[in-house]
Amino acid sequence: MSLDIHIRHTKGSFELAFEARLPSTGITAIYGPSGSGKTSLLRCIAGLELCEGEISFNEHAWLNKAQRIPCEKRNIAYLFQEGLLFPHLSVRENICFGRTVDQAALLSLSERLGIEHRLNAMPDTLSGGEKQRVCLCRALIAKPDLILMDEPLSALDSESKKKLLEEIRTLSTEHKTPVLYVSHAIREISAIADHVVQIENGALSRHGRIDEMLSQPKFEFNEGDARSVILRGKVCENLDEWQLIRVQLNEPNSTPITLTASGEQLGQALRLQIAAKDVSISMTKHCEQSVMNILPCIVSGIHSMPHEAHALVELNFGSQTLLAQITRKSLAALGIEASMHVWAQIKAVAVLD
Amino acid sequence: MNSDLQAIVLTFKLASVTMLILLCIATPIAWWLSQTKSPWRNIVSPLLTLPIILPPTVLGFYLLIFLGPNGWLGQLTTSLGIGPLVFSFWGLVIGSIIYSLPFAVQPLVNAFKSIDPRLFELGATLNANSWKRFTTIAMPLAKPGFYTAAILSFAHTVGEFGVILMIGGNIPGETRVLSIAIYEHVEALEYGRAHVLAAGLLVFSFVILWATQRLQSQPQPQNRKPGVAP
Repeated sequence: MSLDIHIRHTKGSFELAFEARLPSTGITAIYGPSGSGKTSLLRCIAGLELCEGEISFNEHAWLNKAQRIPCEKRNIAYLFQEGLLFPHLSVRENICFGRTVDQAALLSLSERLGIEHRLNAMPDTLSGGEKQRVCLCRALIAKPDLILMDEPLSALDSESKKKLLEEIRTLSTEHKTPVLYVSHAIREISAIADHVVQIENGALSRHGRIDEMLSQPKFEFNEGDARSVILRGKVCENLDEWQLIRVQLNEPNSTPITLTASGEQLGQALRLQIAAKDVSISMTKHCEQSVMNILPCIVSGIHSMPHEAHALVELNFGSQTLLAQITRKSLAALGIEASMHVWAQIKAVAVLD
Repeated sequence: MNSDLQAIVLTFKLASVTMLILLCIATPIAWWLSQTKSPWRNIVSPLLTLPIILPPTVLGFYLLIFLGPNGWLGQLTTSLGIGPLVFSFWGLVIGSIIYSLPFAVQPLVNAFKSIDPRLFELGATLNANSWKRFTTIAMPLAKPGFYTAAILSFAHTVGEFGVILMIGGNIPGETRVLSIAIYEHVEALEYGRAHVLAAGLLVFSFVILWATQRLQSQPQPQNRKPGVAP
């Protein structure tokens, strides 16, 4: 089960030459700086842009030398930027466009998305968030084989963004519909994606599971995106007295991580995001201090960062990787070198889900 | 007075028939012009606009030749047993269609062009083929353009004079339309009768333009292209 792409597409002086086998399950993010060809790639996959080469989805040829299946026959759904709706049709007519829709299914899905009271409204009376919810509802109700999303949340504030990201993730899992999600914001991608495809200058740079990709120091982050890693674990202890929880990472014998509690259940699986700038390094385990999460690690690499004052230190504990962003001055002062034993102090952890 | 009434009825019949045929012809042409990137559009577009600046007598002169007994269209209609179309109502219809074509095509081209092209792509991702995209997205969103095209082609045909004088002459009930009747009254120094018809046309034209303006200033759904493509 895969989405196989081997295409070439030119537009003016820009050339997209992309070749990859992407998973056709879960959420795959397409990440890269502006102008790297993310949207062009998505449009080629949708059949909205002409390109040469081959595209096949689950062994089903969409494009090859012999034929080109037009967009309307690929059974996909596409979420455009800023929630594109037909302005002359009501919300209900927009959702039911071009197909007979089971009204009971429509009602239950629209209730889940909180738009059931807007079904008879016209699109120009909706807020940006509501528009994108209507688009999501329309995409899911069509039972497509693949949903393509082109920065669908770029026009929303961060609160509505967070809520919609959660909904996209839950609903696409429930409906078992694979999603390709274009974004230039690592924050969105880490919250939603299982896989990430990095694209640069119209070509595949690297792709793989998101936690593996983010912990690679060579994974290029877009300007303005904070470097971070994703770790998985399970809640192993509730410290009710302190409103804290302990999370055992998916690494046997590693020290559990302590976090502030927000209603997590014992045994619940969590994904944690740790930014490189929230990790500092010390040579000894200082116990008399406020930072709670101190992990013994081995330095496995030292990398340069875009700003010359900083260095990125790659730290391993077991098979897991942490990244620490420290100044080059500290690096020199502490004499940090590869394969040294150090202590990583984690100042902040974000819970993704 | 009966002959004037006949002229009024004939004029509105000519304008209505012309308008209906024009909407059928102009819609596919305008759709093609608004969507195509073919180099042919650079030739077709000015060709279709030509009747706006061409003196009606020039248009009438060529039509007279084409539709006449020796013209190729005249020969064709004669061989079909219809006879040459000059000095007949259907000859006037053909002349009026060509004469008013730009007034039907242009508003439709503008209306189709002003639709956000992403809406057609959205239609395609929702399994709509090109015919369905045209009928369910382009046509409804271009509705104001259809109204304008209908009104302008109707009104422009009502105001036609030179072409009709060249190919239609002045046959009561067949080719004697309002503008010809007014001309005839003036020639005969019947200024009173000319006044009645002329004032009527004046009021009619004003109402038409007022109605068009009302239609265009109506709030329309937001189907405009975004100013800056992000």
